[in-house]
Amino acid sequence: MQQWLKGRNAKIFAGILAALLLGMLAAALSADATSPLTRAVGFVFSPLQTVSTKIAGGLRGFGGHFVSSGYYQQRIEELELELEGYRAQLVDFEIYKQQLESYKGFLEIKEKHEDFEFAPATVIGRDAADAFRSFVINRGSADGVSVNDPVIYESYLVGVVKEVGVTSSVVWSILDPRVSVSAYEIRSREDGYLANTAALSLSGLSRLSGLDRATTILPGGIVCTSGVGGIFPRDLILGTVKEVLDQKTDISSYAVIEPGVDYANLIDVFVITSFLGQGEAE
Amino acid sequence: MPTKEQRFVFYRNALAFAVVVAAGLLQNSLWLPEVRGARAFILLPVVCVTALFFSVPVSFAAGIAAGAVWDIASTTPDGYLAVYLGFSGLLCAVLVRRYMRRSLRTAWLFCFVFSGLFVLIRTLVYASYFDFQGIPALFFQFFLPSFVYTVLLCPVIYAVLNRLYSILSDGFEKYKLVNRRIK
Repeated sequence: MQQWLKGRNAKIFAGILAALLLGMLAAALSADATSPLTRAVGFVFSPLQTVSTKIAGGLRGFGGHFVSSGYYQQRIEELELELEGYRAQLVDFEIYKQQLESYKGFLEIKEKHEDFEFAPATVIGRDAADAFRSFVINRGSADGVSVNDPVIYESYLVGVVKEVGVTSSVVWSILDPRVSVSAYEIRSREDGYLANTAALSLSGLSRLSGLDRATTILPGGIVCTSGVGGIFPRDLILGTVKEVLDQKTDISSYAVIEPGVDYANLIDVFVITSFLGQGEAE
Repeated sequence: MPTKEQRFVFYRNALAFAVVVAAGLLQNSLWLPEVRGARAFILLPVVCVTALFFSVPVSFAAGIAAGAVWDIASTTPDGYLAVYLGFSGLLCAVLVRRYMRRSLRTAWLFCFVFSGLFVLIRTLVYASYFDFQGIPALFFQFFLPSFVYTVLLCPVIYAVLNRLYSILSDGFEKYKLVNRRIK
């Protein structure tokens, strides 16, 4: 041992150890905390390190081929089940979102008309042979619905109940020529009544008749129910004025009204089962 | 205890009712798309074609059932469509059993006649609401295109129902043949 310590190898070993210790001291004192040796080794070997890491990553993926298909099958089934759950939640979310949107509109009208009593309903069918957009709802006498109850969508009047079953009812839309609604234009306060023609109804439009020849109603005006007759409450929106024309058969004018509701896509509606003044002809 | 033949007849008649009720529910859902405002009244060809394959009482009853389902959604007085389709089924069944053959041409003719009559009656009924002013618009923009659409669908409906009704009949004929051989 003493002879080794006195030999050349011991001196070389001591020199290397001293250099490493000095390097450590220099790393501790330097700003980037690396010794000159580490910096030199890193400079030489970092590209090789990168290649080695990439190869290792590839080999890890290659190893997946040797995993049994049973494992993957089970994993697929678990993920599909999870996905199905998320899809169902998404469907529920969309349904609730749509309901919330429609209820927001109804809440506004309920706040404006506290005397209204509603029955929510869904459109479940339509008469193929009816040209005027009548539809069937899933509420009937068991839900308090009766003939001549108005049907609304948000603040729009869409129709009136004309046939009532126990659990379903037929609603005639306001485009139907058999439906007559007394109305007025909100800016000019002029009174009129809805009297549809086949041509206008087929185009999805309505007609406000009985206006003066010197009417001041302009396109863009909003037409609402006037409440006369006791069937429809006041201030339900019928639509907006598209144009004002002179009647050919007499000295009155009429306004072409565009309803604010898309009947083809109407799904959720409300039936007003009771309101103040219902059944009282003014 | 009903025989196998009686049970077969019962199931076959039940199938006819199931078909017309299903067609009625599909029609009320506007399952077939509108083509430029025209709609298909599929119950009319379904009742006419069904009457080609069944007895007179069953065709009459199936027509009434079809009309009753249509009446659920209809704005016409309740019962009108049940009566109309009941008699359509009855007449078609009588004509096929006495004077005409069961074929696509016969089905098409029935569909043409009864759909045309339906459309004409409906137009006139509506015209009374407009004091006859609305007839041209109503007829040419809605009822005539719908009539054409309905008649054009008749061959498809005939092909489907012919296959459906024949499956049960073929199966039963094979069963009878096998039984006769065994005996």
